Amino acid sequence: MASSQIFYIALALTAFGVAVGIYSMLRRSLKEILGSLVRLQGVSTFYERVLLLGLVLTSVGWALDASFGPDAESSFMDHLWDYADGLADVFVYTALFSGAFAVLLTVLISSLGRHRDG
Amino acid sequence: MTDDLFLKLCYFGMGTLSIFLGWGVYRLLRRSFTEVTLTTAPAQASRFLVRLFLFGIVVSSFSGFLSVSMRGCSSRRYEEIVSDRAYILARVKDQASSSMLYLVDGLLASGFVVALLLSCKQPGRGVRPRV
Repeated sequence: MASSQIFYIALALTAFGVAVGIYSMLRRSLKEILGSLVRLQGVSTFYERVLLLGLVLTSVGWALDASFGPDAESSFMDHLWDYADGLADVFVYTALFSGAFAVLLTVLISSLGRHRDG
Repeated sequence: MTDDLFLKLCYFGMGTLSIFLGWGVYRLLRRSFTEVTLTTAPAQASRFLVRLFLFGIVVSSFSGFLSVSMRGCSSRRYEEIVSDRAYILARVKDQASSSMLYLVDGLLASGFVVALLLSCKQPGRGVRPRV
């Protein structure tokens, strides 16, 4: 297998790991927040899955978008720098997705909280 | 395998995959989404929303695939595209990536729809919060 392909697969696996890691850190507190707002179990399940799918699709999607130079013209370090560039995109866009999800959650909390207070 | 067949297999295979990706995401979320809509909206509206959800998710994924042009920015001719397998694979990778990223937009939009449904629900019908 060509070294660029190995780096490519490593990047995809790292991206998947990053997504699952962030999800496992956030999952419990998300469940607690939603559990304190709404009794309906489906809401909690829905948002947990949206978070997981969103994180995985964002990170793997950006990992697939990375490009590696041709093996004949690239050294190990060239591939490593391409890997680092790809990983930077994965982190930036995963952070952006997390921000968008936080906005979504804030809308949910403020709208449900308004009903509760009223 | 001829170059022409390789191009067609890659293009139509990726198109089909993008539809199945959307459908798979819909299947994962269908039950909880239906539960929310059944509790927050009348039955007819719930059915409508679930179908709209399916349509929205599959279309997001498929439009991600369609948004990547095989011709590329430099508007290559068909003969140039079909003879360059590395280029075809790179485009297919872009299509897979774009399909996933469009799907994320669809997921966020459906999250906002659920938030709206929950906020429109009148108090005292089972959804309301623990005070």
